[in-house]
Amino acid sequence: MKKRLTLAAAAVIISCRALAQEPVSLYGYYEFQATGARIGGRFVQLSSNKLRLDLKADPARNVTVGANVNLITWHGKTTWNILDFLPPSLTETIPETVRPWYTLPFRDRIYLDNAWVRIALRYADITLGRQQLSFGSGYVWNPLDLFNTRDVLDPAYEQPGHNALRADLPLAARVTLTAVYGPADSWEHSTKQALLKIGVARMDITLSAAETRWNRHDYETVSEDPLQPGFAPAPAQRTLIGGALAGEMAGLGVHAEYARNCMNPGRDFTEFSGGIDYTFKSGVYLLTEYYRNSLGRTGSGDYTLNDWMRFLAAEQKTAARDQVYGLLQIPLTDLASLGLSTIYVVGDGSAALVPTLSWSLLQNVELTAYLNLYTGRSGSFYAPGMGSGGMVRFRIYF
Amino acid sequence: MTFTRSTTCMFILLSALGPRLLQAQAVTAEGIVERVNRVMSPASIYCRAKMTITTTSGETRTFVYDSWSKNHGEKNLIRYLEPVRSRDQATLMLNHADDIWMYFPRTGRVRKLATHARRQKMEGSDFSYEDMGSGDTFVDDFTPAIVREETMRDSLCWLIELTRKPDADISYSRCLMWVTKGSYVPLVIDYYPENDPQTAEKRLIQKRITLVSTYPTAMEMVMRNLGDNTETVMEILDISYDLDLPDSMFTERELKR
Repeated sequence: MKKRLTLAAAAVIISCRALAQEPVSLYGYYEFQATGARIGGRFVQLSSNKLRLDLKADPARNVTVGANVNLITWHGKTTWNILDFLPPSLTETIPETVRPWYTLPFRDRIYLDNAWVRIALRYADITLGRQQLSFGSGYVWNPLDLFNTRDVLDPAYEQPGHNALRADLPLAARVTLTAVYGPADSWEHSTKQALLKIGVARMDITLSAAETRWNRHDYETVSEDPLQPGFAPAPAQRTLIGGALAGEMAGLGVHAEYARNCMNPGRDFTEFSGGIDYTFKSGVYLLTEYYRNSLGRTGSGDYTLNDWMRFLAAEQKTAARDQVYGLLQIPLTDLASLGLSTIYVVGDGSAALVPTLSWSLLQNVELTAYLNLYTGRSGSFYAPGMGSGGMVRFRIYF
Repeated sequence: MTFTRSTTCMFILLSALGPRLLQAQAVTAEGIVERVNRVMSPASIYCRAKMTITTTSGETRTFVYDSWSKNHGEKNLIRYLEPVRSRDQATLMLNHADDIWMYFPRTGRVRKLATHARRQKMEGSDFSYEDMGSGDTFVDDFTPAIVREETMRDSLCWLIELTRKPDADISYSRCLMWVTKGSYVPLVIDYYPENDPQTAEKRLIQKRITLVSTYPTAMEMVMRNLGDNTETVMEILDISYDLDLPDSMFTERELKR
């Protein structure tokens, strides 16, 4: 595997070099990340090496091509069984034969993360291919975003590319219509989303409608299809109507997002996120965000195996109904800042405390480190059994 | 028609002193600041600049960016070229930085920032977004007064005191500005914070004044944070004035290009 990775990396670098005549730009970063967590009385660790290679070019007037390849190797505890994190009340009834199915492997990977072409026409920008798609005004939770689920411990980390056709049509000053089509195996299963963004005074207001196939699984049922062993698929057609706003009110930054989701089959649900932020004269930055998901549970004993699995597999944004996020960022020096984020689950009273250090070590070298400390009781959303620990990340841009 | 000696002497005296007398009559604090504003905030600008931040520990960070400005600084677009980690990151400021949008290419997100974000340091430099995008601020947000004339860096200057108007939404309580007589270029500007109008927080020093088109231009600006003992040097690599920049340049669409 290592040999294959080395060869593939060399091939990518050589082919990029071959392309690297003006005006193709080549850049990227190398990232080392080490994670540790205390699980079941043991401290386990996982580290990774990631190489991201980006290229960008303007082969013709108003045409831009962009792409990036990611190469990742994993080391340490590369196989995690999700059942190790969950309360025994949920896991003790699971038969031994099925337990390996809850394994989450970290495999070495080389993949094309983004590859897109953007054509800037007079009245529209058309982007085709694997691309970043990120909608909504929320910092941690975005009810309007059908494509990504952010990591609450690290919400600003880059999101993966998605295969789509996107059109942005500026209709007037501060009025833009965005249409996205994410193709699947049929028109019905494909993601269709429209967003109308209107600027009114110091507010940006977005209205959105979307339809998608939500490819969830039933993690309590094993598939009966011998050709596709695994958990039983539980897909549902999802129709979303919602809106978002971002701007300023009474001197504070405000943002809010709402989505009403009609499911077929399944229970309809709503999502809301809203928050405020403020920068003090000292440079201290404060942000709070509240998130409600009516699919979530309200008490610590209410979470089911499906809730946990869908959350951990990023199929669902959360398993808890009401959460509050707080972020305090304090500049330590010109090159370093200290942050403290807290995620509090209203229903079960559990919280995650995440002190963070960001430090620009050199011109193109960054260090990020955080601890994730879980304070809840067993069975709560942020219980210590979920793996209190920390992460250190070095990133070197080139 | 004949001229007497005394009439001739009077004529010569008036010829010599006339323009000065007229100038003295015309010179008001408001007039000086209006001229300064015209020098510092032309109708439209394109600029490529190199920004070097020197921290308290003596470390440096260098940024290169392109910026476009229209309507005397009312609209601004800044796009970073270097370093690699900030490449393609862009900031759009409209209405004299009352409306700010930031684009982060790594996440593909555009975030609308509230006006308090203007106080944030631009990429950790000693320039805030407010310093960069507030356009006509010296005219609109401050009441000027001439303090005295004095020499600054071998140039005879007006020392102008700018006191914040009661309703102005600006971080500085007052500024002191040394404006060269003749070219109306401020050589030095001291910025005083809201909570301590007696102790300067930052000092902007304009150097290498060069005539570009018809505008005297500081090809190097140094912003010193007097409290933190840090400084940011901004060198102009390329600049042009009075360009025909379309309004469509200052939109979210252009921000993401």
